[in-house]
Amino acid sequence: MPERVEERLQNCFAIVFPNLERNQIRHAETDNVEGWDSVAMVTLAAVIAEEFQLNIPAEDLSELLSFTAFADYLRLLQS
Amino acid sequence: MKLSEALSLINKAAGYRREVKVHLASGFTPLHLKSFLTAFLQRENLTARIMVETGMFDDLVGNVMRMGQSGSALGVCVMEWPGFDPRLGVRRLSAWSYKDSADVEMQVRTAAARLLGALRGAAEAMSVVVVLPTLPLLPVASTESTQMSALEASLRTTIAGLALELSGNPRIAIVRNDCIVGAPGTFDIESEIAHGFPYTLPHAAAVAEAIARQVPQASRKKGLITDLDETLWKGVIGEIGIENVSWDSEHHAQVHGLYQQLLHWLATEGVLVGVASKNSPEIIERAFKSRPDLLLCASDVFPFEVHWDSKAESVSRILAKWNIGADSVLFIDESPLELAEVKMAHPDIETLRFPAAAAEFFEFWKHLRDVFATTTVRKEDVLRATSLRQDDQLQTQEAWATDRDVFLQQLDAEISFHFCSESSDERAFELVNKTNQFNINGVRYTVADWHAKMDEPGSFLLTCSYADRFGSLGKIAVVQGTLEGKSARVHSWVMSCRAFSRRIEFATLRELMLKFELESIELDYRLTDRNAPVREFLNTLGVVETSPVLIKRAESERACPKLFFHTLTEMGSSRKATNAREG
Repeated sequence: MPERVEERLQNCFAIVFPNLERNQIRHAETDNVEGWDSVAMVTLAAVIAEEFQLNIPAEDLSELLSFTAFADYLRLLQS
Repeated sequence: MKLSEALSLINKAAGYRREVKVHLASGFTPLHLKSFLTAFLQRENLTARIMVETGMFDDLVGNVMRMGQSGSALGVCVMEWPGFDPRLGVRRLSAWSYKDSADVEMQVRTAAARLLGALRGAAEAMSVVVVLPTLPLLPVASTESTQMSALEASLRTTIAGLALELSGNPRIAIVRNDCIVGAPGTFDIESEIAHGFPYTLPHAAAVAEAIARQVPQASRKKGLITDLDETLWKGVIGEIGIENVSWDSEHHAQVHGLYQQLLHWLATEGVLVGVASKNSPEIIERAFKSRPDLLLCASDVFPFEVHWDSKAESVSRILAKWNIGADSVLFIDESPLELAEVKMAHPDIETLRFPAAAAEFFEFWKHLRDVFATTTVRKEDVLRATSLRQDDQLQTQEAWATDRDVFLQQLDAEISFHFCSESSDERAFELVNKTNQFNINGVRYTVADWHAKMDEPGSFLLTCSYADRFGSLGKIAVVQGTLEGKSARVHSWVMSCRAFSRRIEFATLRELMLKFELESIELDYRLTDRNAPVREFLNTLGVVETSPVLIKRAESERACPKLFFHTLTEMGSSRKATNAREG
């Protein structure tokens, strides 16, 4: 995945989870980030969709439970 | 605004200590609307963190009912069709058909009636912004989707009726749907089904922005100064003559006529309209007399500054006669040079070029409407220009009077004091929140704070109206405080600048001391950038300028100049006329 895309994804996480340190973002998962609930998930998906100009279907969200999962998802869409 | 920008704005405000609570009531999950609303309100507030609270999903009426008890500074109600009847949404499935239309209509009417009551109740505690359904009705009728069905016509009539009832309430602002401008596409059916949030992101941003624009701004302007040639009319009157200036479509000058019409409307709403024109005063006087087709009457204008001095000088004179700051005034001229000159002399004034092309006029018109917007035109607003004109006459007469006491005695003035312990006086609330000069501390209140202040034990509110032989000034002073035995603590005391130089402040102080049999009054005084008249009053009383300021009855009596008023006093609903000339 190009670095620029990962940086943009990190920015999305930083906006939705402002208390998360920059070095924690790459390891972020629903289980280790405080406040990553269903509302935060929808907000995060909307911010990422807005940033990357794409639509993330609601049924895909159940699989996107970490920064890595989002990164892989974006890689797949862009390949 | 993008969602990421909204969230960044919210994150930046996390450090503010003070919070302003806003209650958002909707029948759907507010989700991104909440984020956008927080951000748009936050953008206007640089001192406190905006906290938007929301209610329960799928309970529009219940959420509005809870709004009233939320203690919020602002309530926002966003309606969409399923909030009136779930059958008009996509989240609940039921086997209904056109045969049930009458039942849907009745359900919507019932919900609208309940909403009306709930919103009126909430508006007693706070300002409320209402958004009527913004999304299209689902194609549930038997007609083609582009055709309005009887069901839709009926439902829209119900909503229009609700809007009509709500629009009469000065604390309720209804957003005009045609002012909600987002990208094409408003309804996100996927998001509605999956998350209960029916808006596309651009539509959510547009709705939130429209809501934020309804929040009353303290910066509503009070006066407009206009040029005449190529502005109020087409043509240069000194060159082409009175009979040849025009403002109609026949002369391709319709926008000048619309401008005159708009200025006339504003003048009747209490906006001060002054003229600054480089012209011969005789010509302009004749023009206003001999052209009865002018839509702006001479009586709408005060003052006329027509001469060959600079426009900046004219503006200075007009501001002095109006006794308001340049930041409360809009200056309109067609010449960029004149606009620049006025702006240089009065940096706080807003200058606006009269549109050179008719195509630009609609935006110009809307801007004027916005900067002078008000939900209610009060009697005092309408009286403003008249009383200023009278004040001008009064000052002329005063200049002739050698003795000020003689002059004041000749005014035949009457003061009406009204004491009460209720917070429902809209004019009093407005005066406290917009008066700068005679204002003991400059403190502004939200509706909720004002109610809370009035609910304190021993709380009182004194309002004062004034009239003299030159006419009525209406309600011009407000004192709010609490009684503590033989003393009173005054939290707020304001007086309109139109009422200066009449010794009304001394009469008010005396009235308070007498009515409550006080020995002293403490003022929550704070020197501000603009309340020099209060400082001057305190100096006249000879009291020490501390915070709070202590005024003893004996001292205030000694310092009080002769008063020449007929005094009327109302306690609550009972009216007691002392009707004695003091002095």
